Amino acid sequence: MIDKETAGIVLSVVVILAVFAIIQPLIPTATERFSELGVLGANKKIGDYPTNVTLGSSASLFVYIGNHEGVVEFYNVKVKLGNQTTIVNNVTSARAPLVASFYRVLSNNQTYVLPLNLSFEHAGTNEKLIIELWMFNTTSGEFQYTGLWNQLFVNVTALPQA
Amino acid sequence: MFGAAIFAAALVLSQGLAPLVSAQSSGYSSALKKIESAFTAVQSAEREGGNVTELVSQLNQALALLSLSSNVSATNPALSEEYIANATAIAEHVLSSAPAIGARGDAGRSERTYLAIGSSAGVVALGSLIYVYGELVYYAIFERLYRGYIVKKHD
Repeated sequence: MIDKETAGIVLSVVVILAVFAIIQPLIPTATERFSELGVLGANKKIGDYPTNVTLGSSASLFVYIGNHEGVVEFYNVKVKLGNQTTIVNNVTSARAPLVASFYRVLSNNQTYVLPLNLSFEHAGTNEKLIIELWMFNTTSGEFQYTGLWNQLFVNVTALPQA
Repeated sequence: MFGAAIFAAALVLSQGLAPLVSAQSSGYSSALKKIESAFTAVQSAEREGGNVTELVSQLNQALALLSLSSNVSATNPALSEEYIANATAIAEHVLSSAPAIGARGDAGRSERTYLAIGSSAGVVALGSLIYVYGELVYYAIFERLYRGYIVKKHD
């Protein structure tokens, strides 16, 4: 038989572990909170982005968004069309014409792939297609730039004259 | 559904078309505001511990309708208005349902907290009882089990 002192220690450890296991689900966990934005090519993979598009034809790509903010979030994907001088970074959103805007509510740990079918009506070189992720702030009551963005440079060429 | 809506509305990117995006109808803006309010209520309900999966799905349905309304606004304004009305109705439904779901979640969370505290107290009490009376109980059971046994001394 084990002596009473050892039994007491073992019992104490078992009790502490049991209590910890019971209250574990109630303890808030400190995990990193973040959102995701990615641009995928026509095959829903990174790469194979449309770089040369003929005027009048269309090109497809996909925008991937993910919510890991710990709560349900309301996202706004803004598609803007700028040029080489358009500035965009993780603090400032692009000052360029907004050409499309999409909304999606995502639960925590939920992701969504948004299909985009692009067609251009004007020819141009190095057209900067900017994709930004905005998130609704319930305190201010408006969408705020998350600092997440992506860009694609597209050459839009006119069809050769017959 | 949302994906299908987006596919249905092939995105046309052109500087010439840019104003079409920014110049949405007042009905569209009003419906979007309503969805934003509904979302705020949903997020609040989730923070209270409510299960908002269904509400999130309904909000996305409303957003899909709003997207459809935007796509047909130039060609079929009446249908566009109908989509906006339906989106607004869904958002209003979500807005009215969210507080009850939040309250249920809050009650459930309190229940789980009390259950955890009670279980912890029970484990501590059981541990204390085992510590104080464990040896006594052990030997009582031992005596009962081996009552008929004869212990012989071997030299």
